[in-house]
Amino acid sequence: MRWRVNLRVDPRSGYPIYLQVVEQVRRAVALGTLMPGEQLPTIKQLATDLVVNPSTIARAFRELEHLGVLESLPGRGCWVRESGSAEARRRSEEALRDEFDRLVRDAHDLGLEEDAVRDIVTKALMTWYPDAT
Amino acid sequence: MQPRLSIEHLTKHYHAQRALDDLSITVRRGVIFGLLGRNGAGKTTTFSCALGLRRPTSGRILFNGLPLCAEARNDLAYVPEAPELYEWMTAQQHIEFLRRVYARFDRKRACELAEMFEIPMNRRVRLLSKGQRTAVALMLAFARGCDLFFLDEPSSGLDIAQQQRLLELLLRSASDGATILLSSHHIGHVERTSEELAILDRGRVVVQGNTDEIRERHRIVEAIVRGDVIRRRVAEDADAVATALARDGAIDVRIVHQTLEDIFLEVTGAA
Repeated sequence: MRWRVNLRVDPRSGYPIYLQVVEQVRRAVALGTLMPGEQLPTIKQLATDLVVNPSTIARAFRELEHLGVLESLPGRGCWVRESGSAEARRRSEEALRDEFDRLVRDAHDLGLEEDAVRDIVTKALMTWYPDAT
Repeated sequence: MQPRLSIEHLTKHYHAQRALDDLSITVRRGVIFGLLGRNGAGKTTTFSCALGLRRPTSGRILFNGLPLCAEARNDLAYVPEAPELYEWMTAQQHIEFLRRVYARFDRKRACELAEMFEIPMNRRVRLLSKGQRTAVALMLAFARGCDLFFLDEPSSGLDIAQQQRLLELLLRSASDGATILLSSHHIGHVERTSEELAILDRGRVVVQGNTDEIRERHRIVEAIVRGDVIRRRVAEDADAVATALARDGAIDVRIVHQTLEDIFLEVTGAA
């Protein structure tokens, strides 16, 4: 089975490999590249494709199950949960909110005025939400 | 189940010098276990003692719970950093020779591996490059039907494509049940392949455990507190530490994962 999701791992990144897999799968589910009910490759297959230890993939899958994105049955493999998309979206939004918070904090730490930050946000909103009034 | 290999309280003195100091490592069956350390940290001495090539000053080494006997030796393969081959023989002749020495030697497998590593089969070993010699040694080791491998810098001299083949070979062998002890300066190779690892420093194990868990245990909280940059190692309580720092007026607070290389440099005091 050829899989549409193109996972990549980079051992040089500061991020542990299993977390790289977790994040990429979560994102694929949140964006709808992976649909609820869709089967994932086996741990062995994915480990072979990515040339990493299967235990790393197993850990990533466990984490994704824990996050409510995937479910699995022994011997039947792993697939996206019915509620997986919503859950992945929720997690992604959470990560987004944290990221946003961090950026605003960075701006604050850099000594930007509140109005300057508001300008940046307004400008970004006008770019990405052009139809909003 | 008994671990495939268990090294217990291994100490080795060379005259006054302590090469290994109370070193203990447990390797479960089917696991690729990475051994990291600077030159002279004790990786090769560990291998020599485990293989019975050097007598430990104290400690013991058990294979499936038993000391090494002649019969169990057939299940072990060792690829040293500078493999010993017969200089005047070709790779093909090595295969023919080892078939007679080892009853289980799998000629077909050897040929597959030769193709995989693109080994020139009919050239005398003395005319081969360093990488080709390494490849010949790997081919011979993995065609013997062993289930426990001691690999000392098995990527030395291999080009990038051959290195990739090597990683695939290790992972495939482990998923077929082989146990592999892998010493390497290629931290990325260890990170990709090794479920568990140990970092040696001056004959001692300074870090040992599951690779991902080691990464989690060595995160760093960075922040600026009253104009000073601080970095503090955190384990499970990273978020709590970060929150507490931010509450105390620290700025630019962030939790970062260290690369395995950073961790290596930190624990071996080489940073």
